[in-house]
Amino acid sequence: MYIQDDVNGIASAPAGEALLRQFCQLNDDLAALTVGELIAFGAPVFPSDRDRAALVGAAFSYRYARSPLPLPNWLESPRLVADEPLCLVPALQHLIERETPPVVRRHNVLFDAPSFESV
Amino acid sequence: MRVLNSERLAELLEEFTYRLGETGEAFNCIVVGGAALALSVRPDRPATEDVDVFAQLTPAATRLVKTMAQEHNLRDPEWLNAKAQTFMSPTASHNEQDLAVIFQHRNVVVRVLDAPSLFAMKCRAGRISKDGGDLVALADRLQITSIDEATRVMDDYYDGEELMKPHAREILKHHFRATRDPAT
Repeated sequence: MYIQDDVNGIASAPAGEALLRQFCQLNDDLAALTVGELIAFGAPVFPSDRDRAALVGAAFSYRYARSPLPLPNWLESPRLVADEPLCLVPALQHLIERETPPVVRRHNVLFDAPSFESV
Repeated sequence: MRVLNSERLAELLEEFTYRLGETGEAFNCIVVGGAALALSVRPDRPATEDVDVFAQLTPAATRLVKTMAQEHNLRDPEWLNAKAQTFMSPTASHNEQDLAVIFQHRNVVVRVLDAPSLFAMKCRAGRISKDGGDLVALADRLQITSIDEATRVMDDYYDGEELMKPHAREILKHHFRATRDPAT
């Protein structure tokens, strides 16, 4: 399953550009799912690392928020919240912070809404 | 990881060019976006499985894209697509022949968009996390050191018809300031 492959990729990607692009790949693939496919997929197997799990949680939360579906309970887990604010482009954190949707910030992840979109 | 490094990306495009060329099809395309950056300005930049091109995709090209998606286990059956066509300058097609050819076989020619045009497109997109690193890398490559210069490059490509996104402007301002005074 591509989505779980993406999640596994986030777990293993080196920090920096590779992790950023793997996160973008997960967002692209989640955006390509129909509502039915998103429901059927359910919860992924999250990375054991808390920051990486928070990233995956943020991606799923954003996609659910963009759908007509309510956020599932499994996205409320405190395991999906980074210990410290997590920004994949630290040099631009001051700009990204104010453009981060609340549903993403809940995971202590900073990522601007337009960057979730492919084109 | 599922993202494509520049070597893998080049392999896919080379195979696409060869196989389409072998059919006798005539086809031209220009690789743009993240894939173009990975193939030219930022070879260490991974790209998502989404190769944006400027092209009129022929039925044979579309079929081959789908076939290769299956063969290479790519998620998107339209991994090579023309969805970014809306970002194309309406007036810049005149310089297509000047662009670097990266792959060619028989009547199939794959070019890569030049750095000034990529920079203009990124200024127009202006997504902070997604485009910020690319914008800065392109500005450095083009030795652009001010918003005025950046605006001129964008105006050259879009013929003055598109505005720089406010976030792109902020990213570049921040970069120019940091470059001038690394202590800040």
